[in-house]
Amino acid sequence: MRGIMRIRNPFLYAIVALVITGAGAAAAGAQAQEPATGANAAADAAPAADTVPVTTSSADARLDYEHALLYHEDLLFVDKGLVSLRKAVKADPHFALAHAMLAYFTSDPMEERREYALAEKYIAKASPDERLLVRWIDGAKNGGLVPAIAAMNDLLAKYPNDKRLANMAAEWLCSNQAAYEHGERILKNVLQKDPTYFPALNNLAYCYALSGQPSLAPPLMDQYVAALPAQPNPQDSYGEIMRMLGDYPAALEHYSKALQIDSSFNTSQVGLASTYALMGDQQRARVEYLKAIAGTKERATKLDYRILWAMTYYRENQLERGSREFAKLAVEAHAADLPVEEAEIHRDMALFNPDPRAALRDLDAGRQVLTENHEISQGSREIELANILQTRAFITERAGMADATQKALKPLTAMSQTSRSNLVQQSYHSANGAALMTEEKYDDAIPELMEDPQNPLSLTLLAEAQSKAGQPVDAQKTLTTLAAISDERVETAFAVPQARAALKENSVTGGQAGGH
Amino acid sequence: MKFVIEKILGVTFEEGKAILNDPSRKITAPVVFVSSDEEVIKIVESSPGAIGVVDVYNITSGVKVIKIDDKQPFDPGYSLKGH
Repeated sequence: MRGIMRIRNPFLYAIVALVITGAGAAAAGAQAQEPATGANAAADAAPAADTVPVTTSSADARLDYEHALLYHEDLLFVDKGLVSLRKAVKADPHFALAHAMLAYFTSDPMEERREYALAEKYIAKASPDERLLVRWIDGAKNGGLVPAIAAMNDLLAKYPNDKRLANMAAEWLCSNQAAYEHGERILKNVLQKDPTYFPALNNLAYCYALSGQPSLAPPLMDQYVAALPAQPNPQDSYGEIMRMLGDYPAALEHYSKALQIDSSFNTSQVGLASTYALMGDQQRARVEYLKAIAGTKERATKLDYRILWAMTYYRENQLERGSREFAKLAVEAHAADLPVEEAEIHRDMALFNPDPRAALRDLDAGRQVLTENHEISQGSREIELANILQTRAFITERAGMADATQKALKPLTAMSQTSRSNLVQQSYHSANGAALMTEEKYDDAIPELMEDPQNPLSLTLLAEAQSKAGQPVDAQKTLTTLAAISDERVETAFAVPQARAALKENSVTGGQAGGH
Repeated sequence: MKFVIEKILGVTFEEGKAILNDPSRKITAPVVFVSSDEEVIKIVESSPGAIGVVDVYNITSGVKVIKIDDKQPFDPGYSLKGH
């Protein structure tokens, strides 16, 4: 198990910065900004220890914090890590770094917002380097990427022997930013200094798998498993890697071994369930999902697993049953005040609704949830709204409702002009591509859709645009990329079976890709 | 960084490099090519007025990131983004 599930990015691009002399300016706009120090100044100032200092007045809180990082970052017992962080902030309510870490790792939007506010409130009590760390993790999650990257690099320069810090940075770069080369370089450097630092081995394997070098991942997993035979995460990671590579029997085998080692390692339980779902055995998947649901106390995680459980009905084309289960979940999400999940549930229902006009009503319901007064961060609200509008553009394009596609694009265009979120930008490009397709401007739609290369809906449209623009080889490549996606997202459940069927049909008829 | 030269000068990277290295170029500021972003950052940090081009993931707080058309890297419409 490792971080947020992403898929390989086949259309990588680089962003460069123009830089001039001027210490501290990269962090402009950051809160709790330090007096200008500069990276070299930071690197030159010898740190008192090998690791970033941790400021707390409580020995218990310090111990809980250390346990939390050991569980969450090294051994990947995610729920246990969260429990330890909560204990740490309880033992020392002024512990800014623990508040920030809890905000970063939690899946609960209310907790995230509350803990970021507390981290900001007590940040002045922390050391300058802890403030840099908070600036990085806050910026990384909330869109202040330029100061976040500068803070991360300053810390890496100042603490070259802090393996956990380097591992966290590389994980963020590979899993969240698709900055694979950077992540790989950091991880290789860590492993060169300490070949037994296994969390880095784990992340390097994921980095390879995500960056399109999947054959490099299994040998690292073999090392990881051999080195920690009594730990469940190496087997769990191996399972996830094999599932990403489409080898479902091997994935099942590794997930099962992880559960034999520790039956409470719940990420393997859900991994097992999702692998059955991807294999098409929905009945078995449901049985396994129910065990995963019972195995977590995190309320947002529990609901996420229940969404996956309900999705099995859609996967086996039981659309009415699926909608019934999803409607129940929407009511429960509302009662539990989990608005992002509630909006997502309506979006999932829309995607599988065979009636486009009814699907638009589902999406309206999701959008309505986001306009209500809920305790969620602006970033989470914005990303889900962008997802809803992107899905709306997709559904209306498929249904030939060109005016409705333009209507979905309009608010996304406005959002894209102010938001620094990559996800919002990608949703905008996808919706714009869909709108251009309604005007039969396929050549113009292609580069727009290529800006959202991780979304199965955009890849579906891209394959068709390429086909209609007279690029059958590219269309076939896109369809092959899409068909190879093996993850738990609703977009995958919707689009990948269609892509696989189209590929199969093409291989029989020798026809072009992208038609539906 | 090849695409930056290609984008700004509208020529291939090698042609662009030759243009920028041409000693007859009527400009006082020299153009220096170094082998890594870390070197660029070091040179820019220690040379007031110098401008460097680096991958955004290599920036540090020792340098100032210049806005282009009032946009920072990752802002919508930022121009120095490419394959």
